[in-house]
Amino acid sequence: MKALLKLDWRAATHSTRNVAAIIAFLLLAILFVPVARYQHVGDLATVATHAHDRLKVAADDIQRYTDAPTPTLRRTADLLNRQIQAQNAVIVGVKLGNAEDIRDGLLEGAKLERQGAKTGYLGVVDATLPTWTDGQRHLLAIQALIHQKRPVHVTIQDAASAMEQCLPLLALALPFLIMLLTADLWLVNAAHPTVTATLPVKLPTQALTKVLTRVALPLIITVSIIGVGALAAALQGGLGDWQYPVVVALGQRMIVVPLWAQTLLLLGFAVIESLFVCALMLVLNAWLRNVYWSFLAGAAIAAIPLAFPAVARTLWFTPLAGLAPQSLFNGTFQNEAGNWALGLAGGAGVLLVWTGLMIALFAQIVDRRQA
Amino acid sequence: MLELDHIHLDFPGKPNVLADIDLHATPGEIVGLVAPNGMGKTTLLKVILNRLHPSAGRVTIADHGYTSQAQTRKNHALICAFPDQSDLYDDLSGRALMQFYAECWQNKTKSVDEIIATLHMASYVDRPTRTYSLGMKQRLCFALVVAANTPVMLLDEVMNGLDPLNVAMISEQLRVLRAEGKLILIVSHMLNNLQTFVDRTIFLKDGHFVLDLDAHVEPAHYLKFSGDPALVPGAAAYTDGLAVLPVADLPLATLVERLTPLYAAGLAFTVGPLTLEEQFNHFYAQTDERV
Repeated sequence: MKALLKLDWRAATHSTRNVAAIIAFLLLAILFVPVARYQHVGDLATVATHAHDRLKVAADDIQRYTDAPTPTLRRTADLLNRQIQAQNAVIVGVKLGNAEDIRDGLLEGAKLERQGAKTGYLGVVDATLPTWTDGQRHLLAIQALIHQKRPVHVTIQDAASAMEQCLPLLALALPFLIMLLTADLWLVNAAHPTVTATLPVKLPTQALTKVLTRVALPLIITVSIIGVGALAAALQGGLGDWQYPVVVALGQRMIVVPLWAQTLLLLGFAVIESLFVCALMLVLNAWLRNVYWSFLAGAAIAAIPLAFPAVARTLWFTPLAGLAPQSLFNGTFQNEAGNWALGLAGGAGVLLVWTGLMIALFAQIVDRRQA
Repeated sequence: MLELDHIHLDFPGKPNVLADIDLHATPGEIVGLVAPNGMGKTTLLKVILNRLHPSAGRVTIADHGYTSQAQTRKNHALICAFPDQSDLYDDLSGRALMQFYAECWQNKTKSVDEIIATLHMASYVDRPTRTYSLGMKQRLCFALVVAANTPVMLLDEVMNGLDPLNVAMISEQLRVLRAEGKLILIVSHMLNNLQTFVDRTIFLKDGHFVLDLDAHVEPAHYLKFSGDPALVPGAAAYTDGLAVLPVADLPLATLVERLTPLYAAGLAFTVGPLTLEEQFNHFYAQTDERV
């Protein structure tokens, strides 16, 4: 097994495709801070302005289409206008450098977001307004900041504030990154039949060495992306505040954790995600016998929870939710469902169960072929 | 060491690819397997490796058949097949692959460095295999089997793409491996080279072993010439263009008498045993005629 593990590791790390993917992701990590700043990612004033504009559109809709507002519509309009005011307070607070205005605006805005989502914004059609989950997440974060007497991140200025913005994007890309690196997991044997067909090594051991290799590779890349991205940001503004509170949906509810803990949670989840994607790729490779079809099928499955979160929420017992880690992390799937399987820990558990099922299915396919 | 017992294999739409094949080969022996392309040589090697399952018969390695997955692994630990060049890992170095073979087959007696030096591969072995020429890759494939150092070695077209110097070097290494007690089953079309080191040569035709030549038995001698067999009384056409006359029982005076017309006609002739190439042409030319 040791020899095969060494060969698989060498093959994975010397592969031109993998090296190109690693370099590309590391370049993205290095360029994250300048690109994010250019795009105003993590710029609180810009975020508040966009929120303000969306609220304004919704409020204008009510004004435009209603001659004589009913009490219900008046309530919705009132909620929207108060949210607009809260966002204004944040924008002004950032521009004037007034931390108190920022905190008050964020606190008020978050409470109103929750309240508004509860009412369902009656009278407003097709609006992309904050959900209850968004409001709850914002509320928990600002309450923790106030409680801990920490300043709010108003822009990307150091490693911690950069990672606060980078980690959700990394979580979004994680399943696709792993699929890219594992699309030929089992088919690599088919590419070298006279080298691998008669090895004096058990088939499960051969599969295990490949899975171990391909779990380690994305983990190393994820660590490298975080490390390089944080280092690039730290060179410009220092390490920053890694105790900064962020909100994750760990179980049935959202909780506040420090930024460093979120980073570790993401790394831990990356291991479980890699295990599942490897098991999925073993099955897809064995079925489809083509690297490109395997990647396409895997990516299509991973796109379902992104495009249709409700499907992932309804089919909570499938691995769909786990294939969109950023939605698990930020509570989008949980969204008041109170379902442990849609939290981070539950989602990881479901993925592990499906990993076992996939490996059993793969073993069955291979056994049937060999018989 | 290696026994094939009444092996029979059919493919869909192609029956009797292998029919009633029997072989008993012992350690310290080089067995040449000879046949034209598409006659089932590589198929037979796959059967020996259990990559193809015969419909009848049994393969035994060191007295053990492929009876279970565990036994298959044990058998595969005793046998190493010559890999195909196109199956090498392009991004890995030759040394990395040799180390893999040595570790995977648990070779503890023959060092990779020693093999690299013997096969003169030091100048390129640390580069990725995608940069190798055809001959370099072929030498690496041979080196991999040597690195595995298994008691049984299956070499399919090992001399392909090699220059005469490398053919001579590999031939010499095969003799060394035989002296170490390895059983080598070699498939080759380079018959003149093959007969310089084999102990046995087996001709495969229509799924059967049709000729098993023991290289240690003194072969019959023939008068061989290109021309009309009628020129020499008793001579017969052996292949298209080659006529032969057995000379073993001929008194010298009679032989000289028989040579006279050839000499008069200015035809070149030789006296000696039939070469593998001549026998190959004899056997498989008949096949073509029959087809």
